[in-house]
Amino acid sequence: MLVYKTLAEASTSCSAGIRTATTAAATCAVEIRTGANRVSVREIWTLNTSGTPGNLGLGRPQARGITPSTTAPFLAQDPDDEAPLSVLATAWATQPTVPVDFLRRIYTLNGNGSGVWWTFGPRELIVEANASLVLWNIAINVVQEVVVVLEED
Amino acid sequence: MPFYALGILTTATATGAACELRTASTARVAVRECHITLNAATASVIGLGRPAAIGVTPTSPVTVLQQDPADANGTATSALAWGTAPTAPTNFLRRFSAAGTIGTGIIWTFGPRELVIAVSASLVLWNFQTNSAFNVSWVVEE
Repeated sequence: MLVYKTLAEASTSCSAGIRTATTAAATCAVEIRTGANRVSVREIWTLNTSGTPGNLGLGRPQARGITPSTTAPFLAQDPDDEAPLSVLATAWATQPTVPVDFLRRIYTLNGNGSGVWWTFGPRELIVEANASLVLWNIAINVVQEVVVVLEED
Repeated sequence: MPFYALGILTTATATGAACELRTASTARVAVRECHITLNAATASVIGLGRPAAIGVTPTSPVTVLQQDPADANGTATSALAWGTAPTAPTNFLRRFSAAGTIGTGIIWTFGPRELVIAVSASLVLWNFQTNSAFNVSWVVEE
């Protein structure tokens, strides 16, 4: 039987989850780093792990982080797809620099599990190849559980 | 139409305009999402509407950002202060009462071409009373 993939199916749907480590103000909490493929971001979840309000922004860093030291790979949601090239990072030799402006900003409620679930349509929010998007600690935050769902070209 | 977005923190907390989303003379926009979350424990009442008069001489307006870097730069801007502030909408498209808790908020969503701003016009988020400052995220198609 021949099986044809639609254009949407030709990209790899993949996801990754990670716990942040850095909580200080004006630091990068998580970096979504692409490899040789550009990606379309479909979902970003971030949830507080303790009872303190938080202030987070989503944006494109002025400079991508250098030498990421703590990473989580994106995993294909269909085991038959190719292994994705993107990763999440939470520590670096040189952290990403602050975005000039943010695409999204959020204050989170004071409670474990409070947070936000941002969703994006197909090819609505793009990260180019060898680039990144950051979730930024605008103020002091608590440690976050972060999940990102992507489609990788 | 390409998607653009911008996240900003309001500064004006007194009764009046908190944030204005302004179009250029060259492109109208369809608003797709408007997110609001409070940054102080102050109960707040916020409205979304078309000002009776657009703000004049906005102070340091910020242009919306492409969500796909391959798209052209956006033209709509968001302003938090003005030489002359936008005036109150006669009636409001949306109203929202937020409990006095940091992080309380709302995400309004709109379908394609459901909420449109004409060229050289604007939408405002309006403080009905002394409110908390709040984070705003606009998502638009130009």
